[in-house]
Amino acid sequence: MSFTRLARLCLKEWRETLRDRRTIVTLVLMPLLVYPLLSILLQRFLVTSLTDARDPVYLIGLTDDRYLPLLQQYLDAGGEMLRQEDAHAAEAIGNAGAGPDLRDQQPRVQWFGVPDLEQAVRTGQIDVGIVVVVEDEDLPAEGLSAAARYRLMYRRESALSRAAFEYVRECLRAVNDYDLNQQAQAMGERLMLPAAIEARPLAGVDGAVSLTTLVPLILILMTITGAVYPAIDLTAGERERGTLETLMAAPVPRLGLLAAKYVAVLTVALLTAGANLLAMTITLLSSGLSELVFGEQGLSMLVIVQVLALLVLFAAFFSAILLAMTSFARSFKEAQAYLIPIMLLALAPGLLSLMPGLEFSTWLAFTPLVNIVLLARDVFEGTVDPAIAVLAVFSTLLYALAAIAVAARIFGTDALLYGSEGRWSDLFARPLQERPVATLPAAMFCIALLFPGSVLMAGYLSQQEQLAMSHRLLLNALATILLFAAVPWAAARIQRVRVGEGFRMHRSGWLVFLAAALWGLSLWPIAHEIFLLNRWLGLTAVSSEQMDMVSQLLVQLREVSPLLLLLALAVVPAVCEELLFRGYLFAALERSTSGGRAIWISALLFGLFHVVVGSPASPERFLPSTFLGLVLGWLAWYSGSVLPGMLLHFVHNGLLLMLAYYRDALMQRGWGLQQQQHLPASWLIAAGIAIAIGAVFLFVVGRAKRRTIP
Amino acid sequence: MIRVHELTKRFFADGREIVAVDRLSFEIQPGEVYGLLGPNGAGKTTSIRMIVGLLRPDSGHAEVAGCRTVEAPDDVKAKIGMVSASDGLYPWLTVREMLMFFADLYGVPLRAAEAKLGQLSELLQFNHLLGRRCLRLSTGQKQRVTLARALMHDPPVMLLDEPTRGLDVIGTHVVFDYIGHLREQGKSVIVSTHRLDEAERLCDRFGLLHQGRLLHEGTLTELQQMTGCRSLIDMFTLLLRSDATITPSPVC
Repeated sequence: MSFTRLARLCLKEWRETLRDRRTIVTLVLMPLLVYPLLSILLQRFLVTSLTDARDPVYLIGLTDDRYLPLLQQYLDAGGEMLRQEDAHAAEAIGNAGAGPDLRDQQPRVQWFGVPDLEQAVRTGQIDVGIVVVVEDEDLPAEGLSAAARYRLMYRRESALSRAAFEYVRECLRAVNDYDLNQQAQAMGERLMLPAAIEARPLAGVDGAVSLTTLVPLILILMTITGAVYPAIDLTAGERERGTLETLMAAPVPRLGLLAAKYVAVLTVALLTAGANLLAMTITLLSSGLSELVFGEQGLSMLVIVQVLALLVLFAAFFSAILLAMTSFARSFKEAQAYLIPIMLLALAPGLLSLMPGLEFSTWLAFTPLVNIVLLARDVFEGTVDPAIAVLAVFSTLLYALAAIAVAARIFGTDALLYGSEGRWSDLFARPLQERPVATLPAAMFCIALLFPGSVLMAGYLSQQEQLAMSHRLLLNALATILLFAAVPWAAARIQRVRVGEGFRMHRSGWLVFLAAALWGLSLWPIAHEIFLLNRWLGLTAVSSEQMDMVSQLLVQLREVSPLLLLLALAVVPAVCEELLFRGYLFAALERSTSGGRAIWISALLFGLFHVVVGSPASPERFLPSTFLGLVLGWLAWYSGSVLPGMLLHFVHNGLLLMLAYYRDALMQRGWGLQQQQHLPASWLIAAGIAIAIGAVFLFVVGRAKRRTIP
Repeated sequence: MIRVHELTKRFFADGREIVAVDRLSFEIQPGEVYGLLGPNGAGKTTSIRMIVGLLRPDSGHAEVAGCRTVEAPDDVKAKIGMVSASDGLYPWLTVREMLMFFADLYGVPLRAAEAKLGQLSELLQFNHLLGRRCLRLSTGQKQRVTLARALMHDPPVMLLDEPTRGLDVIGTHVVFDYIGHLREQGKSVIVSTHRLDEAERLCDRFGLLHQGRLLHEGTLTELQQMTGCRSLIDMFTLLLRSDATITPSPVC
């Protein structure tokens, strides 16, 4: 299906959705009403929770009672000085009656001796803890000055604690300033610098929840509210209107229809989220609550951009999931029944972001929904790990693709068209007739299953360090066979796909194989240069630790037989990965789209898989692997077979392995190569000539006759 | 043009198997209007759905212009225009937008689609409705738009399942007039209807379905000879009285 046709399908879905008044009500009126209402409630809550802002009582704790009289004196004096400063400032600007009047807001202070100050602050027993650090243990007769430091602790999530901290700090600053002035006047006799103040914001324990951590929950609600109605309307609604049968009677691929519906749902979800964001921004700015929600930086442009980017991710995910769920429904009522538990389930991971101390690990980066919730939390807290973030984004997009594939598989099946005959098991029903190649939804579903499977397997294998290297290699080979060959083979059997056609296992001429072998021998210098380009672009930085790990691995690999090495890391990956990417997937892609797109899509997925199967994830492998995927894809398309690509892949992997295996011997012969350097020009020219010869061979043979696939 | 061979479909309901269509076979030539008739639950709609590829047959097959439904579903769908009594319209699209959308689904080029739209709207008398949203159409207007929708890609085969349900006399007349027009254009038409009087006048041949089986097939004259009844209404009455084979009866 062409993009222009897809665009026309999208246009129809947009018209159908956006002209519906109910959608407009959800889009515009809801946020306009909800956010101002929420801000009023929040303000009221804050007013009551801050006790009485006009008569605050600050609970201040000390570990050392010796300093209590002096600090009491400082705070009293400092408070008095602040009142005077305030009065002077008011006189200076000529409106003594306007603005905040500190004299009316003089807080009451209660002092406590506390053995564990930090714990007392965290648990909310006291609002501020003061630790006085003095170099000379004897209390100076002139008071605390240059020899002392005040360490103030407070709970950053508590408005009352922050207010108490501000008050104490200002009082002590005022005393310090006074002290400085006094000393300046006495210049010439003795000059001492004032005591420094050090602030220590602490994270609270029980019940101390920052409003920032609520943002992921708000994002979930924003996107779900927008996506629910169009998802139901465009799937279950088609049946209720009686348009589903007519639609299914048209010769148009279901994946195309679902893609258009997905775009429409995503659009509405984004519009709703955008309207929500706008209303939220206006409300927060006008009510002055932005700092409370987003911390000290408030609702800056950066925060808005971050929220928008996260909204796109949330909307992409939820639109696909909701579309998949509602595709099972035969009516609005049924769709709503499916979605209510889904919405409740969606809130559970949102609550995870409220859990203090929950680390965003690699495993959680692959857990649907939890990953984007934790990503949002870390983005707003400024603690996001880029590698984990990339994994979370990629895995989320793949889950969305899988959901669309499921929707395309089930939408409009006769089970749904004609109601009572339908069963959930129809999703996995075998077709009555054999088919030459897999359908694209089935192939995408298989890829989406393999993605987390590969990550889990990579994680498991990385933990088997206690095994001998030969056993680890065999285990790795077994995992590759299971994932990349057995799973697609089983999927093909379930779908009655003919193995020869479905995996593109066709004969090719010997010249094609010769060309493939030549390319296998000559492509690695280009892959190496792409790796260096990666580094130059700043897309990857291989740390010294990673280099050490690679060196250790090479030492271990040299202990096993080179034949075993070739079998486990060259033969098996070449055969199995080609079967999946240039066989099963490529055949499905080629049937549904142009050859060029099939090459690009399979290459990008090939590149992505090589990023995630490393443990830890290896983003630096993306460009070289994608490049290799493009070459392999083109060869598969040109030759009409998966077999030459297997040879190319094997020769490429095998050559690199052997170069690493015999590196020391090669170095002794003067053929050494620094990994971080460009290759000599002569090597690149030689590689270029070999590639050209291979291309001539392929040109002589000509492109394989196009096989007609119904 | 249409060849149906031993088409069979079973459903499971309440723990038992129901044979909705039982080894149904017939053929229709270009320019022929075939009346697929039978009481409710006879299997007419299920048969039509299997021919168009919306339902998978349990056995047997249907061919349209040489393409088998199961093997080349998209090729078959491209050659069929289908109108069903339960057809709905997209409420928020205008008539023009909806018809152009379906023309696009069938791969009709834009200009050809616009020309066809003009021709059909004139023929079916809904020129004035082209800019109106479908939710504002009356039942009769909707039915005319539905008929036009099935014809936008100029299919050689038309499957009409109760095309006059809910229509008034004038609406019915328009539809049946148009079926006559389709015959003149050389299209193969299958009509499933309860308007037996109209069917008698319009169809070239008939298939009488009962409990999923084709009991009798032929022209009106042939059916009269087989059943001993003079009209389709009499044949139906007889069909409903006896659950098994029809024998010539003096009562007709």
